[in-house]
Amino acid sequence: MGLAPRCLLLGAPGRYPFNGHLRLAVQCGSAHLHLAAAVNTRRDPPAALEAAAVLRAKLAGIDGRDRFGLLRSAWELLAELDCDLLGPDRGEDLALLMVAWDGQGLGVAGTGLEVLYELGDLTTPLLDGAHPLLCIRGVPSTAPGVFTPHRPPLVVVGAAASGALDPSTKPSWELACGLHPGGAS
Amino acid sequence: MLAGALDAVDPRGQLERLRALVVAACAADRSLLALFRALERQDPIALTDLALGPRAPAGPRLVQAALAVLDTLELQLSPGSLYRRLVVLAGGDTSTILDQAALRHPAAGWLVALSDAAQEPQPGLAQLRAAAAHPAFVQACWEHAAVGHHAGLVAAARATGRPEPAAALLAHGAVEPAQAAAALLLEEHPETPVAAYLAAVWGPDLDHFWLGVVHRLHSRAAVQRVAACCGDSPRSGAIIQAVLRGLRSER
Repeated sequence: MGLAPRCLLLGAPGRYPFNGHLRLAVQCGSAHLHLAAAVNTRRDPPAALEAAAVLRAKLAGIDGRDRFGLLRSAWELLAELDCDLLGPDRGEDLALLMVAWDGQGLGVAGTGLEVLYELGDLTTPLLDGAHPLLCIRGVPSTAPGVFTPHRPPLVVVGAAASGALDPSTKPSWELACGLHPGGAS
Repeated sequence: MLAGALDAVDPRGQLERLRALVVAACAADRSLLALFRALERQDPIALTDLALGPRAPAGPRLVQAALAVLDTLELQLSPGSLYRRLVVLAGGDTSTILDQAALRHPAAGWLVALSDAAQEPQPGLAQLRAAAAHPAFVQACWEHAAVGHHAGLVAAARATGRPEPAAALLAHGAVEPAQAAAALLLEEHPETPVAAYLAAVWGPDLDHFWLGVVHRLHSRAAVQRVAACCGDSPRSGAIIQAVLRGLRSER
């Protein structure tokens, strides 16, 4: 695979579209995982940032030998996370999108997502409707399945359930996801 | 009459006489306070005509007296129109008018245009200072940012210690002013959670933004606060360490 696949989460409508957002990249040998998430988004920015930092620190421990191992590790870490540390909402508003890949292919998993797009393509979503990957926000009680796109996209964009910006209202998809020129990925 | 003795006067019946008196007093740089206070009690409509009407004489004496009877004038005219008219009549120094308007109506949307009309040196600052403890403060920050009142928002961040002016600047793409505001907050208001507000409007990867802040800082403590805001990228770490070494060698 050439350029590294990654994922982004669309911001929410309103004054603080990226409240509680975080991104993380993990590499274990030849296996990689990239994630984008939003948590504690209904609280004020300091509380949301604190919850995002807790989640980020926990998920920084993701480990695995291949893409399935990385995704499984992420769910296991989430399951053992003390949700009280995520603030009074206890992670009930969590939206999480993960893309994991290795020499054999790419897998997409997540929670609290409504639609998945390939960056720049609003008309033909990668995933919408009743796919089991798409579910309400929150820490799932059991590990969700893995979606394997027929044609691996370079950048998967997630729209969180009940509240995501319409990317066509912004100058670019990247800005709708809080990604700026010169900024990190 | 200039001393406020209006017992034998019918203000509306003798409006032209009173107007001539007001014009003459302004020309002679004499106070209109006593006259306006007497008119306030006796005939607010005549007062409004004399103080704000199309034939009101411009100048500081008239504005000074009008500001003393604002409670009455605001009952006669909408506040937005009243203060816009006072700015026109003031001609020169409009700071007191802006301050009064902001103190009396901290949430008013018309203050945004008034700060331009009054040629406020740092547009928006008067309102944002007055509204610092008001629920409308955040909305006011966004409104001033939308019309490009960057200097006023930077000054407001410094004056109020609140993070929203910096966030409003960044939300409207004014990156360098937002960096200036963030630098001032880090230096002078270290307790302000500015990083959280900036991330909430911009997105979670702010390293590039913070690297533009770090060169504006003068204290090691503030640079170390930036280090805590930055992620763990080697590039950011190297730049921050270089700035810290520079500050160490200077002090």
